[in-house]
Amino acid sequence: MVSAAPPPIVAPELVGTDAVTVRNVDKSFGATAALRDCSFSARPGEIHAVVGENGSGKSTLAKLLGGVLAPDKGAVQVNGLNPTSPVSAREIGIAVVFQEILLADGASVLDNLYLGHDGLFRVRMSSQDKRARAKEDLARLVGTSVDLDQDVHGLTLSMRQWIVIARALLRRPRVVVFDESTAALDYASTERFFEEVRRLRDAGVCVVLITHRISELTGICDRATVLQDGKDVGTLEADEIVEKRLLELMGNKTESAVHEESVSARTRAGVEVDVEERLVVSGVKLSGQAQPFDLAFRVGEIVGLAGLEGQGQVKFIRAVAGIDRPMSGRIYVNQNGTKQVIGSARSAQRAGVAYVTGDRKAEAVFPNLSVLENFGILGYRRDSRFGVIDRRRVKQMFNEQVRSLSIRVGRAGASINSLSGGNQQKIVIGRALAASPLVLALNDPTRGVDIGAKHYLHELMKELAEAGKTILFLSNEIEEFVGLCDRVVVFRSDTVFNTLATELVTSQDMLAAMFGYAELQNALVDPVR
Amino acid sequence: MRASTLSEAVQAKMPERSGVESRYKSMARRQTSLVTPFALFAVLLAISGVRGPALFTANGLDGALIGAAPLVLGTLAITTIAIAGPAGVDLSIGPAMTLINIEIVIELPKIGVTGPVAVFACAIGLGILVQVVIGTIVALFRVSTVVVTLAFYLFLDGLNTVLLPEPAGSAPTWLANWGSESSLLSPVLYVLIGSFVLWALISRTTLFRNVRLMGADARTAFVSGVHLVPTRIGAHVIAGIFVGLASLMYTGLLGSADPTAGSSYTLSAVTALVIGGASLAGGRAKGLGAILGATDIWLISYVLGTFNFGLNASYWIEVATGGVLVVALLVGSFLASEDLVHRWPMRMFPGNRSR
Amino acid sequence: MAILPRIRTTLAYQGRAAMAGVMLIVLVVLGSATVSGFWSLESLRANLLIASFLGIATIGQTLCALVGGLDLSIAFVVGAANIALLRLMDGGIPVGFAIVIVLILAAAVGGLSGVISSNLRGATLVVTLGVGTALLGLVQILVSSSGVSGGTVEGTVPSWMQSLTSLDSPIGIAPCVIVWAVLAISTILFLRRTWIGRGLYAMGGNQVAAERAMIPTRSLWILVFSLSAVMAAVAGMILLGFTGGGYSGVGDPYLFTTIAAVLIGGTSLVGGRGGYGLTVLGVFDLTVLQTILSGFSLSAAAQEAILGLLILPLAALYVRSPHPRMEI
Repeated sequence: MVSAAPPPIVAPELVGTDAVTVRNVDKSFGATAALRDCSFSARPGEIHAVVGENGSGKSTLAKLLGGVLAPDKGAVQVNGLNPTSPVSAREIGIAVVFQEILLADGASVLDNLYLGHDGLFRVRMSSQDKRARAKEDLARLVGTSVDLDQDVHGLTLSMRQWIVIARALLRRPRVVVFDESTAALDYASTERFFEEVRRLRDAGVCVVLITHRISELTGICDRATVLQDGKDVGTLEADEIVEKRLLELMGNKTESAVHEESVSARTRAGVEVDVEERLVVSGVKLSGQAQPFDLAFRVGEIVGLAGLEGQGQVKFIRAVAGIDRPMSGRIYVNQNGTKQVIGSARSAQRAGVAYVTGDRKAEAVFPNLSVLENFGILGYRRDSRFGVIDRRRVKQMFNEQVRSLSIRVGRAGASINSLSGGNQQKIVIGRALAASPLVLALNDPTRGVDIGAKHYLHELMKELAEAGKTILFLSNEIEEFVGLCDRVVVFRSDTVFNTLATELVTSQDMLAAMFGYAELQNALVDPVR
Repeated sequence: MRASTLSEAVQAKMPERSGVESRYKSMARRQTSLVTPFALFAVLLAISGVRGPALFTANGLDGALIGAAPLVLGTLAITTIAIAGPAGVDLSIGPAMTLINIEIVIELPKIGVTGPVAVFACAIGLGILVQVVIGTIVALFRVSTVVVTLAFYLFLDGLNTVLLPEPAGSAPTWLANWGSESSLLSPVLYVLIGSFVLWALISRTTLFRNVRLMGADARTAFVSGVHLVPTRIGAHVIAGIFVGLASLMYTGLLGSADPTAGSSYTLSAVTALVIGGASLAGGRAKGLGAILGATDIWLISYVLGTFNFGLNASYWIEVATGGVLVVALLVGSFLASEDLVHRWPMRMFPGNRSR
Repeated sequence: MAILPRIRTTLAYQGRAAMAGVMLIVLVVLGSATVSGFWSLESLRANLLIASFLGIATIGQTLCALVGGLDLSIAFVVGAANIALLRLMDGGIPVGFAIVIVLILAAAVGGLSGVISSNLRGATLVVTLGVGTALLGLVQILVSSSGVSGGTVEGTVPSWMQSLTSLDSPIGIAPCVIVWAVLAISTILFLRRTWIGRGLYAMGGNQVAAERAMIPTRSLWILVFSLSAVMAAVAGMILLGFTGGGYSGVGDPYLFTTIAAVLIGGTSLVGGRGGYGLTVLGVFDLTVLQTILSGFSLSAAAQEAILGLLILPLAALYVRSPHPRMEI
């Protein structure tokens, strides 16, 4: 039986020392600083978690460790050596499983497992040996035997993630970094994953687990380092690793106060939600096998959309925005007594729906345009006379939104890249608001935004709701719903599974529910695939 | 909207996609891209049979072999570049072949190099040289292949006319005889078969596999430890070999040196590439597709030759080549197949990508 | 190698204009020194005229580059429009109608390129190459009469067309230059002040975001290629007045000079950065360069070779892709 890890062949002078050392590292991309004076160390034979919000620098750290990027300042050492490229990283004995599942579509499972394994003209392992080891490793990880010759193209997300994990472990590394590796794994796989992680630790491998899901860590990590805004803010030892402490370190001091509330702040403040229905969803099926569902969103309501990854909440919000079309059913907006049906992005906009996404780099921001243009572009066509843009009006609306959203802008004509992530997001929101929408569909709008801006956005949502807007707020961070939403719609299998009323939108219950696997045992329905 | 306990509100994560493709299904999918060139081949062969049955005589086949050989080998050359991706279209092939042609006919004899072995070596060597220069620029500066080969098209085209203002010279006798072979078992056939064998061997090397990987997904290749710069230059070396071989055939066909006639190979080779099912996005192309595509293009010109277009003959060939390219692309743009996602690059010049 | 990325990020529009402008100054100085009569009135007039042909043909190429495409069919459309117009007029169709017909056909052909390439963005170069070649071949076949090859077309060119490009025009410069100036100003204003123009920049910068911003990307893409063909046709028809006879190969030089002018000017072929003002500088750069090279008695072929070499460092500056490590 091929062992899971090599006997720790550590150079004598390195025994007892750290396997990974990151010392005062800076790393910036243009104007954005991903890591600032960050330090981190991990030992052989431990499971060390790196925790932080989105945008805290965790993935950049993983890339530095894997030799993909080089630090601007400071030192990165693995087993005493500096990983300057993925090749050298591999030779040093570190394997990194990145957040992005990097597989070669069109190649077989076996080929993908041994990518880059052979030198230019020589082969390091015989074909039979390769197969044998691959078969064994995969069987142990996945739980069933896997056809090594099939194309990776059609495989499930979970399987693709396993292959990437197996690829890393096949080299028998002495340090392994997992960046959000459980995100794509189904439930039973996640259990097996943690078993494997424990086995690696027991064999002397240094395992670094990068995640933003706090509840995954309690019970498995030996140590946890928290990153906030690119800086390490503290390292906790085994028994200190509790959610409360972690949240505190992540800068949520003020937020944890909010979390203690058991009732939506809005309800306590006596804010009445209008009875009038603004957005109506009728008989909508999000995919072939899904159950149709009905929903109604009222004027002045803030509704949270939740669910584990890929359960339909993103499809739903995109359908509301008109970007994707549901398989069947109708979504419409009540506007001045008329029903405006949403069938496309344009009809959604005309119906008064504004869509804001957290993935602004991909879907919202124009890196080649100025701040002002990024703002104005959405309304240029509307604000033009005979095709010519009415610049005065655009500038006017820009100034309005900058004021009302407290956006920190230098020159309006400066490149959008000169703004921080939070301010860029405010521009995106500002331009959506400039169209005076009736419904705001927010798809993870606080992703990669610093704490301060996040708080601001939450307050903004409350203000907008009070002003009569209907807000759909999709988020992957349960804590965000607390104290903000009137209710939370939970999605499962591309349909509405349940709606949690205000009294139940509390931090403890939500956290336990979405993250706590212990509770899940009862709720487990489907067997292992 | 009923309230419920939260433990009921939680669900097990479900796999997002279901269905695992069987080995045979994926193999079948990979083969479908050969349907177009095969179908076109069958149709053209049938038409040839009707309009120009002389093709199927020993003489006709000889002519076909030497006539199609330059394009077949040239297409194989640019197929490698297409595989290396992204958006790897090599526009320099025409003038590059012409340059080597001029070398063989005019320059090399000046220094007394006329023997087969020496000429072979020089042709292939020069082909590799040109391609390596291109490849190095593309690899080191990460400039789009299309733009660099565009520049080289201009440069080499101008250079060719400077070197040789008017068609002149005659190829070494042994080579010139290739163009007038009378038996099927000619050096042309041997060199062609040898080239195919060479291609088959090369495509099984680790280098070629890395080229495919780099073309399919450069990030994955990089992260897996593939050295991107040497691999890309390696792809160009392979291409260079076939450019040299193509030019040898071309010289044999022409019998002399011509500074401009070869430029049209650029369009023909690119068309053959597209017909042959190569993925312009990188990573996927078959040698067989390239061979079939080139044969199809040659058959088109043969079929057109059976009509009497007189002075308009060359125009008809242009229309046909351009038209076939456009139709092949049109069909490709409307075919809603999964394959399509991987076959066409999303942008011409990767950059400002937002994932 | 580390210097290049830094140069790239700091090259905003002004930076690129400066580079192209400096290049022009250098070339002009070089020209004054090496070419006798560089500053003579005739020479200036001639240069402006040559520049205007290229300038008009390059309007379309600039637009294509801004959205991340390239049009290789321009040269073919120039030639096709050239011989088609003459043939139509010779066939008895009034000049005005003939011009309109050619323009409409050009728009249609450009539209076809646009439609096909809008689904196959990455293959744009190949699409336009194919469409252009097929078009020119087709027009040549249609235009040729028995015994006479379609390469050259005989016919009478109206005198007003000839005077458009006349160097002896009473107003001091050929009217064609004025035409170019008007088109140039219109293009620049169009790109800077209209929602379509800004929409092109948005498309070039972030295609998905542009779609979210309600910009009709597909329609604009097709429009751009249609406009490109129309401008190429205009150039081809003007050239008819210049040469006095139809010739299908009249567009050949424009196959790459349009791309070179765009590149030299500093418009990024990746999309979203640059503009027609930059291209005008690039056109002048190219024209002066060609004057200098001709002054050295360099043949057209040698000039072509040098042009090819010139494109390379410029491409290295303006058409670079990020390293895959940045995309993970």
